[in-house]
Amino acid sequence: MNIKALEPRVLYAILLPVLLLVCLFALNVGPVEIDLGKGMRDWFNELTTIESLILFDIRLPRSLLAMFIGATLGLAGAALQGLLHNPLAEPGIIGVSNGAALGAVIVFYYGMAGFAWFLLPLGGLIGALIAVSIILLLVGQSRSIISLILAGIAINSVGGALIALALNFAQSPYAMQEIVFWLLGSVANRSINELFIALPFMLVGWGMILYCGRFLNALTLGEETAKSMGFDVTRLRLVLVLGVTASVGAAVSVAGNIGFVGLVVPHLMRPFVAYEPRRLLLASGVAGAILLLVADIAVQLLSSNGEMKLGVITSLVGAPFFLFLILKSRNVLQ
Amino acid sequence: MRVKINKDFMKRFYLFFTVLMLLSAPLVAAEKPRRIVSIGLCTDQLLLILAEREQIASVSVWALDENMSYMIDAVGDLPLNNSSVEEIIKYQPDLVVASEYAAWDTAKFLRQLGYKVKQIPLAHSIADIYSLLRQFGEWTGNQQRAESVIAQMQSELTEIQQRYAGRPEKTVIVYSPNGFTIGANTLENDLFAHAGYINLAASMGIEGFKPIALETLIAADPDVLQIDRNLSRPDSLATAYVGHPVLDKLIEHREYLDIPTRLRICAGPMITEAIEKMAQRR
Amino acid sequence: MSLLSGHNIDYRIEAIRILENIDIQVEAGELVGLIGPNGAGKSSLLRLLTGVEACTGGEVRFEDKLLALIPAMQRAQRMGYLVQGAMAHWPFSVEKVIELGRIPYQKWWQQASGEDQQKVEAAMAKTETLAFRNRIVTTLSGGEQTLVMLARIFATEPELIFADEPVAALDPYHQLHVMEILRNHAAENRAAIVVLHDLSLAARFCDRLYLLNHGRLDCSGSVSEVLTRENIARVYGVDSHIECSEKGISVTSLSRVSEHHP
Repeated sequence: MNIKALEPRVLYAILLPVLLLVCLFALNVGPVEIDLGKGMRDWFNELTTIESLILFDIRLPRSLLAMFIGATLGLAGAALQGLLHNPLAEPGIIGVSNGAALGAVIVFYYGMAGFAWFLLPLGGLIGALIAVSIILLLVGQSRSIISLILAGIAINSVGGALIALALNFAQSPYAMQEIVFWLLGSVANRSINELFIALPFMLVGWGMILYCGRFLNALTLGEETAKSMGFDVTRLRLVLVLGVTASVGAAVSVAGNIGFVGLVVPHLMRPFVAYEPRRLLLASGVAGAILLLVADIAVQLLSSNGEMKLGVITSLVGAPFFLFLILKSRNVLQ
Repeated sequence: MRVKINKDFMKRFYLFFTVLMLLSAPLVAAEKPRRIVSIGLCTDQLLLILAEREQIASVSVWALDENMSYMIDAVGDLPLNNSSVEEIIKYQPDLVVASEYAAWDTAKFLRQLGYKVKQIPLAHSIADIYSLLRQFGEWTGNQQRAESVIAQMQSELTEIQQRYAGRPEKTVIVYSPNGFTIGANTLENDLFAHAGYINLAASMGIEGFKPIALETLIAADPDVLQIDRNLSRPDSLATAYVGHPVLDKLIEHREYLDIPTRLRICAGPMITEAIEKMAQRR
Repeated sequence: MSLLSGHNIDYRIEAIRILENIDIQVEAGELVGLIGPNGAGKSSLLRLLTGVEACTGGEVRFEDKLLALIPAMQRAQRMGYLVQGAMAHWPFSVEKVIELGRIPYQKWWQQASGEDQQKVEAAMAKTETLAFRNRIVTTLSGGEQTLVMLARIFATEPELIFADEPVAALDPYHQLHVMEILRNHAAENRAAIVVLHDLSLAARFCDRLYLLNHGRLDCSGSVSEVLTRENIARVYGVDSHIECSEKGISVTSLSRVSEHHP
């Protein structure tokens, strides 16, 4: 099936309105039926009514968070796939998300989060950074797709075990049962505070990733050629990794590990951007925002009391996709 | 002659009396346990309120929890236990008291080891509290004390209702960690009723302790909110539920009930204080 | 002033000496050939001259300025590097690949401009790749891909082109085509320096040659000075027959020299 690439203008002329529409739809979804129009009017007139509270204090932060996290995951997935030359790379699969979750869990449950707003996302960043470092150590110079996946499995297992351990020793009696949140992810009951905490790190991370767009394009010609085109490969690799860990670390620290978005979205978008890694970055960001918002809507419609975690939906879609990709690239795997 | 008859009679009397005492000794001992161990917060309270101090061998560590224990000042230097079987056996109790709804594994184990274990059920109403107090009084041999506590409660309640009868009824909803609310057929619900409140959760058909969506809570538009925030518990996602900023906004425009947890979490005479506080805020 | 010059170049990786005491010059208008047996250090020398790798000792100068002091972007604009075995792995269109050559002129937020488009067209014309501009590059043959890679370099409009064995796996037609393109490039008062195995091609297209052996410069000079039967026997261990005609010089290997140890 040959999907034709689209000019940037056309692509975003389609994607952005879709995002807006999905967002409006998401604002209309919830356990209570409210009049959106009244809610918005009340807010503009600075009236505190049921509608304005529900709309602006509960639903809007949740939807915004879903969008920003979806964008982060899509962007990070595209970045990792470009950097590692690996179609199966994404923050969840290679263990970055679990590392971030571990960092966040340690900061949150051991009383450090309250001292300063940035400590929680910073914990996520550090956890993610450690995970990435171990991955790169394990994989070394190997271009093998398999070795990356295996390293990711190892990191994920160790990370998950450490998360369980950290929760076990935490003071709070609720900690142990909250492991589901950290491993599957959710944006339910998250407020504007969580958005404010995570946003700075996410935006900085996005900036760093987008800055490396040209570099990723040049990298398709090989490392030496990229060097000859004026890129400091070592430095830019570091910038890219930092961008991924900062944004994913922040996202995971407020919403847990939402898997597979970074895998699926770049693959869906690649044909539309003519496989160009640089264009793929922004396209994956926007598409990721749409995807996660849709998933969150699905979660709210499918479970009556909002108990289902977001990661369940993304896994239900993403895991089969992952299997399909493995089968498709069987001949490419060494 | 008179002295002889008296001595004879007295001897027989003393003999009879001694035999009577000896025979009734086990009955007396059975009626009043001497080494009672409580392994839960609510039985701690009951024990400290109803029993004599010499009867208590140990109470649970929860008895010293500032937020949860009403009788915290009465604990003094009583030994504490962590509700583990090994610790309990150490005290060689002749009676172990616990709640029906917690530590049933421990209770079962202790029974298998031959210890006498009595468990109090969950109280769903104030009437339940009265029967609970009576039962507890019977187990610990303090029936009279139990009756007097019940009598005092009843008179206090009547007095409270009379004092605040003029005030209007108000609607209320409870919100606790993990987004739980308290519905019909619970003790708290009965407390609200006695304090002159309508529990909107019960009106919605919620029974027992169930989660409620934040949106539903806001849409219900209660006059008064009771948010369980004062927990000495450290951070967790569960406590983040009650920390949601929208609740702050809601409180700005509503009354906020802040009844200390220790007054309403256990069945006992302290609930009258809770009801008084609630009624005051109407 | 030479376009490119290297003095006393020394290159070591850990304790292993790869190159020792190399002096090399490339003048404008020249097509210079780097020849020598396998493992002589030709590719390493090329990498040092492009600035992709740094020398352990000695210096490389571009127009008399130290290469290391020239900003990376400027170097990228004035020098083009065709790596050994350059193949495309990503299914881009040919035009897209060539457009990558304009990257050294674009800021990170910029898209391709009209001027970029013009340069890409010119590059395609130069390499005769206009015909398959819309084809996916991974579907092309080896020779066609090399032309595309060259076009990418031409889009950058460098003065100096470095090519590491550009024709090694190509058929005769494409071998000649690529060498002609490089020759033409040099002729426009620019220069190219090429690593070659095929001595006949080297003889035919290069103006000057540098013969490397075991990391040292064995000899350098014009084609006839370097490509002598003695030199080839000593360095390559091969007895050869050299024929000069008006068609050019051709070198044919005859037999291996028995005492030679490579």
